[in-house]
Amino acid sequence: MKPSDFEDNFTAWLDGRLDKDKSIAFEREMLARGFDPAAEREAAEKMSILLYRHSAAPELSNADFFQHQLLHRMELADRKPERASAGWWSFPRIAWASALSLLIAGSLFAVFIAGGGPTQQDLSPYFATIVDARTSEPGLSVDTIYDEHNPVTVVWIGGLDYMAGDIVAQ
Amino acid sequence: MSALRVVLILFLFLFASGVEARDKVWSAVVVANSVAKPKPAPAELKAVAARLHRVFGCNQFEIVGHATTEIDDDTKTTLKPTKTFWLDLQARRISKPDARGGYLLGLKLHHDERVLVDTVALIAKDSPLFFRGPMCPRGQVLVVLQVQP
Repeated sequence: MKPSDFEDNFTAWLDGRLDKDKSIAFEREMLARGFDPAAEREAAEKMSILLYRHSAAPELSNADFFQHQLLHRMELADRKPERASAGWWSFPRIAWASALSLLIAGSLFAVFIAGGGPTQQDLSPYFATIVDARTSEPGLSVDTIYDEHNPVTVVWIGGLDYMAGDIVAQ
Repeated sequence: MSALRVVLILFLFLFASGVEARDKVWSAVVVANSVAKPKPAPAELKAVAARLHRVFGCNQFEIVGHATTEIDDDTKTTLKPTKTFWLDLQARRISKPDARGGYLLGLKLHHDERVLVDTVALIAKDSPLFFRGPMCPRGQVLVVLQVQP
């Protein structure tokens, strides 16, 4: 129900929001309607004091729990925008990211492990070394020759007999 | 999704390029001598011909017999470059970077029924190992062993 102009003016008059002329005009109207402005103001002030004294906020028996719940709700409300941004990780993007990671891993494997390390061209091209050399044949001797200026490794077998005949036929 | 397929193919290509083919071990009996007009060195020995000349004092190297076999991580085989000279071979690939993709070889050089030498050697690819054998009417007999990629 919409309040009447008189009710609006009455509230404004009590609150002191009417200017002097309107206030005087309204008090006349009240008198014409059978209301005593002084009595009405006094009654309104008494009611205001009464409400102020007897309408305090109810005390909470579990204030800490209430505060905790309130903070929790506030945190949830703050997180909502983050959840909305999680939509970036759609399936196609995850698939692309996985494929890219796989490609990078494969490239690293190919470069550093499968084909990695120094090549023979990077290092000295010749590498042949004798760990152990021996003979059990009587009269024979075995020596290893390696000249770093002429890098060739030779197992030198001494004491061998001269081979008669054509070696191609043997 | 077609782009994903392209990425997958690229990935497989990278892995395929990393797969190594099996290596070979080549052995030859060579006669070395010194002549006025030497023949060009065999292709397999061209890289070391000059060094051999300085070590043995010979300027001509002729292959009189050779043999080749495939080797891998763990191979046990026999190489017979000629009827009378042959090699018992045990090969194991060395994974350490210092070995430069080479092999640890257990070698027994035979001449007829005699084991002339029993040796263990570490050799990288394209690094021939030489055995100095006996003298013959055509010159100095050498036995060569080389791992080829």
